[in-house]
Amino acid sequence: MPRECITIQAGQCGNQVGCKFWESALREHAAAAGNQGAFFDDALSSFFRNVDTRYKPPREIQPGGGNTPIMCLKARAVLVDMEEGVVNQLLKGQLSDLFDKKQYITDNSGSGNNWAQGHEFYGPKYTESILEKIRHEAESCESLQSFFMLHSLGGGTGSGVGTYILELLDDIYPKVYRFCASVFPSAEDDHVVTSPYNSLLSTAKLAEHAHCVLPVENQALIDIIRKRESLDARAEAGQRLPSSITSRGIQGKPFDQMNGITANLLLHLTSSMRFEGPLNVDLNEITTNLVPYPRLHFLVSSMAPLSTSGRLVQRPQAINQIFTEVFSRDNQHIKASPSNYTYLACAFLMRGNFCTISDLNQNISRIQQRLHMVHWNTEGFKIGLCNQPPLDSPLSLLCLANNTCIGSRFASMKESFSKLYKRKVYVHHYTQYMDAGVFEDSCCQVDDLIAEYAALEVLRPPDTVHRFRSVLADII
Amino acid sequence: MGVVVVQLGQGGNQMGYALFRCLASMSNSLPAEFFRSSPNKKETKARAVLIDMEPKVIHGIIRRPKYPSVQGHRADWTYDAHGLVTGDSGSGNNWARGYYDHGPQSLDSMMKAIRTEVEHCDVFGGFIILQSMAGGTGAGLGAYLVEALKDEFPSSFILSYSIWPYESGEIIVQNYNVLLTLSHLQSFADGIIIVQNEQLSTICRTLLSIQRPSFDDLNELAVQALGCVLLPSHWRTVEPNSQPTFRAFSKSSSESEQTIVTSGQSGVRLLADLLSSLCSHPGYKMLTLRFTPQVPAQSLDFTNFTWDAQLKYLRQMLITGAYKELEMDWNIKLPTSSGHDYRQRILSPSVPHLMNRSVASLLILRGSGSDCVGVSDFADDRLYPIWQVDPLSVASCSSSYGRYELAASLLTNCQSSVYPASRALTKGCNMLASKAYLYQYFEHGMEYASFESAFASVEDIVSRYSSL
Repeated sequence: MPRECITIQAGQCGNQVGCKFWESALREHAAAAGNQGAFFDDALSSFFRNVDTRYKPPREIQPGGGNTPIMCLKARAVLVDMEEGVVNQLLKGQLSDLFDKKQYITDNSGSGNNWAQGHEFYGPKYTESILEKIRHEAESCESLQSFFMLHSLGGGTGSGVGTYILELLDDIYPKVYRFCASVFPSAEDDHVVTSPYNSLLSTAKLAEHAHCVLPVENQALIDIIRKRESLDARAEAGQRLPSSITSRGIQGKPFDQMNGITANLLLHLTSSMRFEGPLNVDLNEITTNLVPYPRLHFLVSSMAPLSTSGRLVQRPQAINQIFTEVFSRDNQHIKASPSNYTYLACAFLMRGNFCTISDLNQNISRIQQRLHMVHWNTEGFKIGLCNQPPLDSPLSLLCLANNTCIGSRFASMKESFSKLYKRKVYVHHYTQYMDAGVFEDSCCQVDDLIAEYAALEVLRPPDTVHRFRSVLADII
Repeated sequence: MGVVVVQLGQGGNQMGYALFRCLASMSNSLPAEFFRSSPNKKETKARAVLIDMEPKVIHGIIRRPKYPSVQGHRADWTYDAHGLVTGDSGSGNNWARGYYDHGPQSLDSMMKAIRTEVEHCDVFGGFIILQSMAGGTGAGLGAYLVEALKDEFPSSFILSYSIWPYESGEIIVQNYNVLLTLSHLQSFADGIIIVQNEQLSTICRTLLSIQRPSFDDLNELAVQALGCVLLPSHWRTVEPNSQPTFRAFSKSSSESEQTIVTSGQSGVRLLADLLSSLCSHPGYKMLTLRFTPQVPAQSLDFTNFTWDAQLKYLRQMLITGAYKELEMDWNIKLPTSSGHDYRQRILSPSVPHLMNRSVASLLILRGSGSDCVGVSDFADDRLYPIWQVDPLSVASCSSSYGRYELAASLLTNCQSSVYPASRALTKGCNMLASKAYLYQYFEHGMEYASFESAFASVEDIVSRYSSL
């Protein structure tokens, strides 16, 4: 009786990240199964279905007592893309068995990097189909807990169709949590001209319909990879490393590794749901603890250690170092520096076998003094501890923070948007499908968001706090 | 003669597992109040009901070994498969979800399992609830369940053993959750023992040479103190006298009559005696549990224990409100002035206080010579309010407690029990004023007024104790 997660991958980026995610998830569960061999247990059941393909239609096999042998694993996922290239590649590759025909939707011509084409044209066109495929996945779940949306905000499909699907989910499955791992376009290195429009329009939708958003920026990921390479190179001490940069895409970006980082983030986030630990943290607990006001649900994430060379020694000092690293600017998944802003809440999710609750507590009391927490939440830390280490390291820490620095990120996004919108460049592509008023509305929404974060940044504690008069005070 | 233990949520279940292991290992035979043999007489089962809204923790506990590793001799026991109540989706640390959603939904299955377990008892002695106060299931569902139990079993005693989270933060909304839970427990439970994670952790690190205590370590320590109270012992009542000297017990002394009730034989009285002696006043239900000796396991065989020394530490812990044997303020003494005009200052945990005043105490002594030890110091009426006529109860058992030659637990209804609540109130009010996280509670049907009344009732509790 696990809590299942259905992943929805929209657009080119979403599907590529998804591919990496499924690959890593399978390897992780295989590593966890170890010598006993793999059985279809509750852990696997949160992301995969077990089907017997000898029957037509294939019969679902439930996890049962955890001793059910694996027949054929299918991912609990729906793949959406308005051009066929990426999904076809996925279906021809190693992971083709994970998906069946009922799980993907493709079209021919793509969304042309146009949010409006995705949201207002393709969205409605494929509504029935999308809902049917999601329903098919949801029916095989015993207790569906959340949807994971993987997409990027800079293009057309991921941003437009992705947010359209989010609205549908809000409508049809209001009680199921909606998590989004959204790839924001980089400010510096962006080849899509309309991405400021796309990202702003999407952000407005995310603020309204998602429960929790994990923004990830391409530039931050590239910097992490560069830093990781230099750390590894130093660790190898002069030994000539083979070029670890594979599948360089446009302008030499290491897309495979970048997707790996995002996939790793998702694996870490869900590790407590899938494996045992002394202090479990479910996805719904993330929302309960980290989102004090419903619209402020954008979490800044960072992970440590960066180095994957496996040189990490199992010592308690390593834990202290990891905690310090996780606050460094280099480890953040967006280009921002949360330590210079105000924290509304913070969660630490540790994976690994030898870390105890007291290590975490000691580090938190140490770190607490250096951070600026909002006055009503000075001990606003949530802790999670999972026994199963990640694939490439004995220990790993994920820090999720609700921090006002995201407000400044939105402000710069708004600025790039305004530069284009002032002159109404490319707007006619959008007004083909939607009303120009949508731009104005989205702008207002994002302005509100920025203002809310800014207000919390400068919030000062009140002089007196209202205490509730005890009933006896009148009597005594 | 049976006491049913209800384990709620992750914290409660992990603690319950440790508790039954402790009860099985620290005595020579499995106490009948907490264990029963199954109908086919082949297995011994714990009198427990395990409740959690997600299945992982309970399944993990069922699979773990039951025989204790402490004593060396095996005492096999298992949990009854009919006593497990699990849900699917977890409570997500949301108190309102535990109370308003899971409570009513799971009420039938929970009460069925509990009723079954109660029916297995020849004479039913009451409930012990194990929960953590900061989460969603243990706290929210726990509060709902305690209310329901009081409704269905109105004459049964309910003692809760509730975990107070680390104040450096385990869960961000913990201040709301602990205050909401506490206000419900105050209304429906008969006694509330608060065990603080932070204190357990400090004891582990400073006294027990466990540098990096894990939750298992904290649980072992917590249940050790509770097990000392719950295992069978002989009860005696001691009249208070105000002469501050240790006096050896002698049968022909001029002390007033002693009555001895052996709780092992008529186990129905365990909770009844405990709660009627400690929590006779409905306004004072908060208890603190202290245990001595606090020595690392590896030094147990090499340390020489005497009753005088252990009781001296314990008494000073009581007077100062401390929880560990180190760094106590020995300057704090009982006032020497006669008359009852030494009222306690307004309770403020940050201001060093003079003395920790108590409403009543229960002292359990285990080890040889425990029935002869003079304990009249603990009955000194300068420690207690004027209206308390029978402040001290004592129970003893001459068999040793596990590897401890001498062990003593002191369960007191005293002011130090409310310090954490007082701190939580300050932080909780602050957060409430900025309306943070409230939408999550309102989504499940809770209203602002519930927060107000809960906070007000905890203010009541704190002010009652400070006026002792």
